[in-house]
Amino acid sequence: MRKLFQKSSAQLQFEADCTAHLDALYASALKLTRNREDAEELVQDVYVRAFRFAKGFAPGTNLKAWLFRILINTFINAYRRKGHERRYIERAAVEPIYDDVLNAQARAYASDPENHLLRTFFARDLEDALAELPEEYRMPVILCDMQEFSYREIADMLGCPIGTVMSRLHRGRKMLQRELADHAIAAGLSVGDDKSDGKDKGDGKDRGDVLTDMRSWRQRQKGAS
Amino acid sequence: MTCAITRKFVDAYMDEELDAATVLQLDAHLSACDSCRDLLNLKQAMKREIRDIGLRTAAPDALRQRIQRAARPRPHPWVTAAALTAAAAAVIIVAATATPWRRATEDDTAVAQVLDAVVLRHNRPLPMEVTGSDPGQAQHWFRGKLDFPVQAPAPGLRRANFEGARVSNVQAQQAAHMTYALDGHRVSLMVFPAENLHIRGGNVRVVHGQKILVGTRRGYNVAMTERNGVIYALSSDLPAEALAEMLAEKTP
Repeated sequence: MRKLFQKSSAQLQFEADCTAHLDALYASALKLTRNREDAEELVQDVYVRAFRFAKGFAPGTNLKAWLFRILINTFINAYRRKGHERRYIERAAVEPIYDDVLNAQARAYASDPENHLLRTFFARDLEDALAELPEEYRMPVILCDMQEFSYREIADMLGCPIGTVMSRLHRGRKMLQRELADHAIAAGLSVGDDKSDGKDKGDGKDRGDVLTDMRSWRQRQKGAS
Repeated sequence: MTCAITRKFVDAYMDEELDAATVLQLDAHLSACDSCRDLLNLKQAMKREIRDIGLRTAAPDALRQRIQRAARPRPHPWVTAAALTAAAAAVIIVAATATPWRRATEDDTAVAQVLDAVVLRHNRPLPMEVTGSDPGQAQHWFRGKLDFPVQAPAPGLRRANFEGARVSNVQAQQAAHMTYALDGHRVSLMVFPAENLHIRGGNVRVVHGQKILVGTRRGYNVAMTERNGVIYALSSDLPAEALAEMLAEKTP
C-alpha cells in the first residue's frame, strides 16, 4: 500500500545519498548548459527523475554514475540547442589540429604548476576554452576530467563505444589546446609571437603584469637554452 | 614506439586506460622524449585544472533547498488535517487505496509541479530568441523547432502586445514561451505537451465552455487549459479570473 505519511528509511537514505552528489552534478551541468539558470533547472530535473525512478537504481552499483547517466540523458533530450552547436562542429571538422599547438603560458604553467599567477590565467583561459568546446567533445571531457569517470562508464552514459569516447577525448583535448593558443594569440602571448603591442590592454593591469612576467620568463628560457 | 603513436595514446595513458604492455612502451618513450613529455605535462595540467574547476563549484543554496523539498514532499493539507484524529486517519488510509482518491493525489502533485515550472519560467525567462510585434511570425518561427504544434495563441491576447518568443522548457519538456505586455503587466504564454497532466479536480472552472485550471504560485497567477493534448498556460500578476477569461475567449 502506498504510504501517505512517511517514507521508508531506505527511501530517505537513497535521497540523502543522491543529494550528496549535488555539487558534482551542478558543476557539470553548468559546463554543459553554459548558464546558471539552465544548469539549476537541469539538475532539478535530474533529481525529480532520480527520486521518481529510484527503483531503476540497482543497489550496490555506482550511484554517481547512475545520476550522471540521468543528467546526460536529460541534457541531450531537453536542454541542448541543436542549431547552436553546429557552428563549432563545422569549425572543428574543417580545421586541422596539431599536437604542437601550445602556448607559452600553458607550457609555463605545465612546467611550473606551483606558480599561482600563471595558474590563475591558465585556469581562466581553460575555463573559457572548455565553454567553447563543441558539446560532443565537451561531454566526455567533463565526465572524464572533471568527474573522473572511466571510459567504460562514459561510454555507457553517452551510449557509444569506448573507442568513440577515446577518440573524442583525444580530439576534445587537442581542441582545448588550440583554444588556449587562440587566447594566447589574442593576448599577445603565443610562442614566438612578438606582435603584442598592447592592443589588448583592455584586460587591465593584472594581465600586463603577467605579460611582463611571461616575457621575462621567455627570456630566461632563451638564455638558458 | 614513435612520437606519433605516443601522441595518439597519450590521453588514454594519462587516464590510466591502457593495458600494461602499452603503458610500458609509452613509459620508455616518454622518459626519452622531451617534447612528448612536455605534451603529457600540459595535458595533465589541463586535466587537473578542469577537475579543480569542478571541485570549486558549489550548487546554489536555493537549488539545494528545492531539491531537499522535492526529496521530502509535505503531505497534502487534507492529509495533515485528517491525521489529527486517529479515526479520520483510518478513513484516509482506506480511501487512499481506492483509485479515485489516489488519482486525485497524483493529479495534485503533477499540477503543482507544472505550476511551479510555469511560474519559474515566467519569473525568470530565458532571453527571447525572436522579438517583434507580430505573434503570427512567432508561430511560424516555432514550426519545425518543437515536436508539437503551436496553435494560434489565446484570442484574448489580441489586446496584449506581443514582445518575444523562444524555445524553452517546462520541467523536462520542450515548451514554446511567448511573452506579452498588457496594461503594464507582463504575461507569459507557455505551450507544451500535456503528457500526464490532466485538467480536472478542484481547481478547474468552466469558462465559456472550456475547462480552465487556475492556480497561484509565488504571487503569480496561472490559468491552464488543454487543447488536443497540448497545454496552454498563461501566467502573470494579473488576476486569475482575467487570465482564465483571456484563455477561454473564443475566436470571434
